[in-house]
Amino acid sequence: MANSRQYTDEELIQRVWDVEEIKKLIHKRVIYITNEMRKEELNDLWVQDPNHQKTASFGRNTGYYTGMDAIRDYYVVHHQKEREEQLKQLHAANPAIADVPQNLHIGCLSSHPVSTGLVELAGDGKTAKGLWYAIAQETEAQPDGTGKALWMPEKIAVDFVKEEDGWKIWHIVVSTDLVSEAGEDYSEQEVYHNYETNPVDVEFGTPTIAKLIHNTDFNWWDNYPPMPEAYETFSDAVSYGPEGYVRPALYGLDSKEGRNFR
Amino acid sequence: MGKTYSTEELVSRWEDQRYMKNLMGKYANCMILNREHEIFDRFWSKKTENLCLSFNDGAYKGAEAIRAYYEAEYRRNDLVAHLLQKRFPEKLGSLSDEELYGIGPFKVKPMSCPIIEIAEDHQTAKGLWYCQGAYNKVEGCGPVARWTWGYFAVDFTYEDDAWKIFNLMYVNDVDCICGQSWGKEEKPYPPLPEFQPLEEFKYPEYSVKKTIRPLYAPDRVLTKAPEIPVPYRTFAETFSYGIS
Repeated sequence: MANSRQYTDEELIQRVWDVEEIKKLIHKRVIYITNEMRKEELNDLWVQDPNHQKTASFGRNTGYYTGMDAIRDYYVVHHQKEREEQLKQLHAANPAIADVPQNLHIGCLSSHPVSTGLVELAGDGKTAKGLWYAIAQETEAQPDGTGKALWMPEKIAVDFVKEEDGWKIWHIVVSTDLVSEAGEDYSEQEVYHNYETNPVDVEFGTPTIAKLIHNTDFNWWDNYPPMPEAYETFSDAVSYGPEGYVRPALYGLDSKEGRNFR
Repeated sequence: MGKTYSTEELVSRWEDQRYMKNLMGKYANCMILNREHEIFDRFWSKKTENLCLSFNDGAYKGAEAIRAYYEAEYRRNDLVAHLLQKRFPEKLGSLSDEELYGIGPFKVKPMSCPIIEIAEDHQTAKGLWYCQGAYNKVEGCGPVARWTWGYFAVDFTYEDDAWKIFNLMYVNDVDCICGQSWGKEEKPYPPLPEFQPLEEFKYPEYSVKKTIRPLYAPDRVLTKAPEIPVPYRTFAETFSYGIS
């Protein structure tokens, strides 16, 4: 349902500009990720208001981290430890790669460029919702001297809230549709997702709320995260946080039916 | 937070951003159409000195050098088309030079994720785009498709009621044969004698020959993207995408 409010010219222009600023914010996140600026991303692009920080969330296929402390532990601290361990392994295999801070992230390349932007600004102008698609890839150096390059196409759904110094990321869901090594035929992958070995799931660890929210076995039939629709004011019902998750009526293998399953 | 603008100013600045997005869209289309030789006259500043066009391994400085680069692209496109005409005489043999031009290379450079900042004084602007591109070119081994992922980073100047480029940096992280892993050693295709003249083709020497951005390799240290534009008052108070 379209927004039926009547706006003044000034309000309309402000709404147009707000959508531009929201797109710019998510585009900056693309560059921050490439630059391995995860800590800075949380400081610069995410909510700073304490009340928003308490309810912030970061979702992936297997659940949500909630609250900025838990998000930081997963997204920054755990990631840093993984990269330090990776560097130790590279150094052990090839002592020419020194185990020094400036070599952290050596051989790593993460690109999650977004397209197909779909932004809905709340009627009250205080929050917004956006959905993008990214043909993403992540590459990491291996001890054998090669790089393991993984395609990981994904939907990125975001709730934004306007704080004193502008628009901020409040809730995010990065739902990965596929992980496949570059140069390999992804149609040869096993049909059923292996949560024990899938690198995205392994990296995500055990979130605050652990539950399967995007089942990739049968494409997008769970419709999560859903497309944003026009809305007047933010509520749990429209949130990309865990409170907004609705279990689909037809849920994966439980249902024994679905768009691509007979 | 930058300066606060009036409604009229916001409208104007929104239109400016749209202009620059369209300009880069046209730039990408010129590449797809193999019309690089039109790019300088259409999109580059005619009133700014020290123009700069840079790539991963060097930079062209000044109008003359930049124009010469685009003209070299035209000559290479022309050479490719004529080599293909020789290789496929039944299909292409009867075409005139004009009809033939453009056959072969297919350079797709879709630009996404724009981050644009317009100076408070409205004399300049800066833009950064991500480009998940492909470069389907003809080399000494014949046709080869390559993934090219990187960035377009551009400084614009406002002259004669239009935005024009005065620094453009196009640098990639990945430049590898499609279907192969960019994390592993490239498996090149064997050379084909009919396309050997392309091996001898030379672009003009760079004005500044240096590694501006190394391509991804498993031993590459963290290499940050071109700097993100931030709000600024005048160009003198911000950084430049030009290479010195």
